[in-house]
Amino acid sequence: MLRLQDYNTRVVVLGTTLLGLAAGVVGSFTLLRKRALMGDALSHAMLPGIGLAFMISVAAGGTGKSLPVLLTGATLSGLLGLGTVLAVRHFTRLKEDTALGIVLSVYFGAGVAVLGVVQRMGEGHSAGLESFIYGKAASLVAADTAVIAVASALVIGVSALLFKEFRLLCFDAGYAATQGWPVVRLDLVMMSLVVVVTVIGLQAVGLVLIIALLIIPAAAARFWTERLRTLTWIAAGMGAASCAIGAAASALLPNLPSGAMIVLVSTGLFLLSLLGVANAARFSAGNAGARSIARSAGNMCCAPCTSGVKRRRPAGPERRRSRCPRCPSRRSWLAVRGRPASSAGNLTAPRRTGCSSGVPIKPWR
Amino acid sequence: MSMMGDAISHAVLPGLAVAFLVTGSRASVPMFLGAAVVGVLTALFTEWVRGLGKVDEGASMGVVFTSLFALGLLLVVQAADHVDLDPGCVLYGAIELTPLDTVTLAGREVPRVVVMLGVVFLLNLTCVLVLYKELQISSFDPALATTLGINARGLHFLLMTLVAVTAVASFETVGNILVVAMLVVPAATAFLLTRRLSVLLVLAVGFGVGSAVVGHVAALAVPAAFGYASTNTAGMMALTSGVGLLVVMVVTLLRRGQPLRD
Repeated sequence: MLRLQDYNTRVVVLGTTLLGLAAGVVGSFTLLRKRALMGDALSHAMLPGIGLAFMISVAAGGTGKSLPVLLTGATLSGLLGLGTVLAVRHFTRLKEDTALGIVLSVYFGAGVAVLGVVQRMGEGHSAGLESFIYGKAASLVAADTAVIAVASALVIGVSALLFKEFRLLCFDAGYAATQGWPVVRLDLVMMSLVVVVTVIGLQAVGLVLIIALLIIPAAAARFWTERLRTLTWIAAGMGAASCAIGAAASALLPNLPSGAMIVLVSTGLFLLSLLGVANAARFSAGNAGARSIARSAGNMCCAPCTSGVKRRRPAGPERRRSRCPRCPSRRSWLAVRGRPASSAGNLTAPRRTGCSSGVPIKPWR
Repeated sequence: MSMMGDAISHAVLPGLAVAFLVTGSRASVPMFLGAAVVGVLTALFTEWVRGLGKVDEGASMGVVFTSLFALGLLLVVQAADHVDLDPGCVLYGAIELTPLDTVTLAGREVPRVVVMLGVVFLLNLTCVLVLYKELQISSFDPALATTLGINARGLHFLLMTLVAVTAVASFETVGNILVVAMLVVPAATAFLLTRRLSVLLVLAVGFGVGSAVVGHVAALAVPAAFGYASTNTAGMMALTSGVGLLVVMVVTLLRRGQPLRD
């Protein structure tokens, strides 16, 4: 049996659960902003900040191990990385994913170079810095959990306050701009929340795990709902649940690293969602093909294309199959029974750039 | 697809672990095969998750590679009692140690990784030269490629296989992150300067080689200038390629007054 009486287990489970909660909330926004890998880039971008903070604090006569100093360094260089992504995207014709790849690799390279210097400095003991990469979920102490609790409360509070604005930003940033919302500032706030979650997560559970927590619960929740509010709740719940189960399993059984267990539990939830929803769709639509149903959420034009052309829900024989009007793919479009697409609740916001069938769509001229 | 290199390079960990558990040795060939297979599987899984799920490519990539990495970590820990798989080595590489590990080729002592990466380079070069036209068409317009009778999907997976093979071959030497940097940054730098694919390829190779050389020198020189010992070469190379990109970005912006837009 799980011994929650055990103080250490209790602290670890509580800390990671709160982190999963916050990451699920923030992850749902980044997922819909199509920036799922932002956490990946930002967490790598924090390494040089950690190394430089260590060097500066050693040079100033400290031990270099002061957590606030290191976390400040991480936050600053994470924000710098965020700025670089936005700048590359704005000032060049490189795409967002390339910008993320650049920031990720260059900043991490810089971090490795700085750590290389630190290790050969001789003075100061740099051994603990590595734990930022691999994490130390199993050895969280009460103070770490307190930091996580405060930061999670902050993140969830800001998300709740700015929920309406974030929703608008997720679905139609252009429209938000025409309505006079400060889109750039809102975007910065949203991404700063990612930075906050990543900083506390990096220190607590390591680099890869925090990326997973930002992506997987939100992606899994996406199967269950078409509404953002529900999506956020489900993602937060899944994040918290996978952290709790994973941390508990790691505490209960020998030789299971907690970080990996948490990720694998959330992967399990993701696979369950994928299979469960595909099955449910198959049952409700007879033999109409679960895949097409899963794809064409709402009554958009054929879901792989989503060129934004809204199609009337056809009646009669026409409702079975028709061609996508805009993209050259032969993939047939399947009318879906159900709620018509409303502008607020429909999650398949128009994408202009691509088509998941792999067929790029030329802008309509 | 820029993040694919990152995804693949993280996701090969279970391949390495399984290859080790099956063969019980750290011989290069089984490790290489295991990693390459998982690398290709990563591309395949990403495609599936994107097709079945309602998420975009970045998210499906993130789901796949973090899961595979966690699985690999679990396998490594399970086997860790008697294994010496050093995550640090995969992450940072040990480029400084390459001259110590040599094989004899045509009567001369050559570092083993030079032979290995040379073979990979020739493989990549051959594929690009032979399939240049097909790759060009299917990169720009897969639909057109398909109507012309070119197997765009097959080419996509060939490309992913090449990425996986290159990444895996480079790991041991230069580490995970430099692979990602070299896959993304030189090509992005070249992309700012030209609109022609052939020129892009040549420029990208040039930038890659340039940042490797300059980075190596910088790793010795820059920390020395501040009175420290030398630093990690792979990290410095990645940083150098980034500085190169920054310079090109600023120069093109200043000269044109505005970015080269599509």
